[in-house]
Amino acid sequence: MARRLEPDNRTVTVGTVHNHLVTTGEGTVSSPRARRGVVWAWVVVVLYCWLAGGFGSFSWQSTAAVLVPGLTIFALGVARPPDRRPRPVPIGVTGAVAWSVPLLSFCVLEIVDDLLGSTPAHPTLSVLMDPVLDVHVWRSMAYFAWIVVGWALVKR
Amino acid sequence: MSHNLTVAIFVLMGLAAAALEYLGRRQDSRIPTLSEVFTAVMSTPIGRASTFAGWVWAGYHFFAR
Repeated sequence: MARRLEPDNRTVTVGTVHNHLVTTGEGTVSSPRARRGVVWAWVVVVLYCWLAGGFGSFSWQSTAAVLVPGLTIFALGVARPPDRRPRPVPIGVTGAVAWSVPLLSFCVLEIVDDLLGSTPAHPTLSVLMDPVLDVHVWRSMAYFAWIVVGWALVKR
Repeated sequence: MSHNLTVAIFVLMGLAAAALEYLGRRQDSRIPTLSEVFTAVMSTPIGRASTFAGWVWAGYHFFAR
């Protein structure tokens, strides 16, 4: 049970605790211990991103630095979808066609440029981003953004 | 020329996606937002696995290769 101390020193029961989450009539909130855990987890992620951002492309370190969190988040996301997922809205033919145009165009352009050698004349998006991603701090920030997106997908 | 054309197409696709997102956020729009598209795609196991596979590929493409 979760209890709260009232201004007049009375202790009242406000809900139940499960996995450090307090469920009350007003919803579910994290306990202080859980919140501290989340903060520390993100601190570790930031340090990891800074470390991973220092590895150059085409090295075993950069490959490992992507595959370790990548496959972990992939496994978490596929094997353990959240209990409460947003209800899908019917996207309809118009919506599907509208979004398919830029998304499929992007895929086709990437594949064609890759088959043409991913050269400066036919650059893939990663080649265009190389001048930015060659800078440690930008690379680490991009790495962090990638992990944040992955974690957001796990919770979706 | 090819370089500039490729960059122009990437920019155009980005602008198209931004325009669709803007249209999707209007009331009574028949265009879904990108978030709604992902929610629909990820509502099936194959769609969910494909989305994560695409995400892993993006990380590998940009940071490892």
